[in-house]
Amino acid sequence: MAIPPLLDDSVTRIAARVEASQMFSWLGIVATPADDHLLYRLSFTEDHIGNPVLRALHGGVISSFLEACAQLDIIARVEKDVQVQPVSIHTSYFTSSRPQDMLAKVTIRRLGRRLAFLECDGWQRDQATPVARAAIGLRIIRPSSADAP
Amino acid sequence: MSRSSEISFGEGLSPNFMKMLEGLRHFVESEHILFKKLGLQATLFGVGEASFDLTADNSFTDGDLIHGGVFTILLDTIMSISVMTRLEAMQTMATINLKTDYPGAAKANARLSCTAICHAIRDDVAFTSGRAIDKQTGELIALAEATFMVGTRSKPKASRI
Repeated sequence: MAIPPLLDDSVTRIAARVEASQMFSWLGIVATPADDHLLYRLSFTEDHIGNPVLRALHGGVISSFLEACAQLDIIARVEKDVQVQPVSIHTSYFTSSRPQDMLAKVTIRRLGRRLAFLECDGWQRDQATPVARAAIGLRIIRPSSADAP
Repeated sequence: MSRSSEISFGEGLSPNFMKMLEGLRHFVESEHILFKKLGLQATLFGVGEASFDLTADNSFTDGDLIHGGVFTILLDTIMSISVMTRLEAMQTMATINLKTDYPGAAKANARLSCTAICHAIRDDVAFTSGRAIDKQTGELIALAEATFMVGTRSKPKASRI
């Protein structure tokens, strides 16, 4: 199944979805267009700190941000009545983070009828040296007519 | 300690951990902005084991349900606390790897229980797992596994990945 392109209104759709979700709003996610993909931003606040002595982003906050980006990247491509639910996320932390915004890019490996598999890289200073990378599995729930074999 | 009567303690916890605990509880229950918001309350500490109860309010919902990301955040922290129960002194910790699965979902304001186990620490890498359960329904909400680097600051830079 070919990966559908970003819809024309993907940025406004994402903004509306973020506003409707307390969790996404808490992460302060903003999407902006960049070449052929979307660039996601975690808007840093003190709430996102893990250990106040280290002053790094909380590992779980990074993981939920990358997961949220994956969900939003699907939402930006499918009909509005399609539900996207997280199934599993596996994050590797390559380097320490700073108390700053984090940027992320999503790569969709497969978007099927019922499941999607994605990778999401998060970085702060340099995209080439990401802070973390996540492998994410999502359950796609389509209206029953579209779910027929 | 104010609520110590509600916490169970396993055998063999080091006296140092008991000293660390007060600071840790204060940090989790009243100092840390996020965990204060989640109303975390310690219920059990053993060697390699930590449990907390909490109620996630409307601040972290996505629709009617609590977003799974909350459990990723919570379990990451509680798994790191389970590592501390095996330490002789408080050390900084960094998550190396974190996997969360979502077999269930919790409604806002559900009473939840989160338990973490630190299975082993080898060469300053701690291996842990954790789970979140809805206390009313018994439903398994989230499962997690994580590894942590113990002592992130004390090591010379050359030894880091």
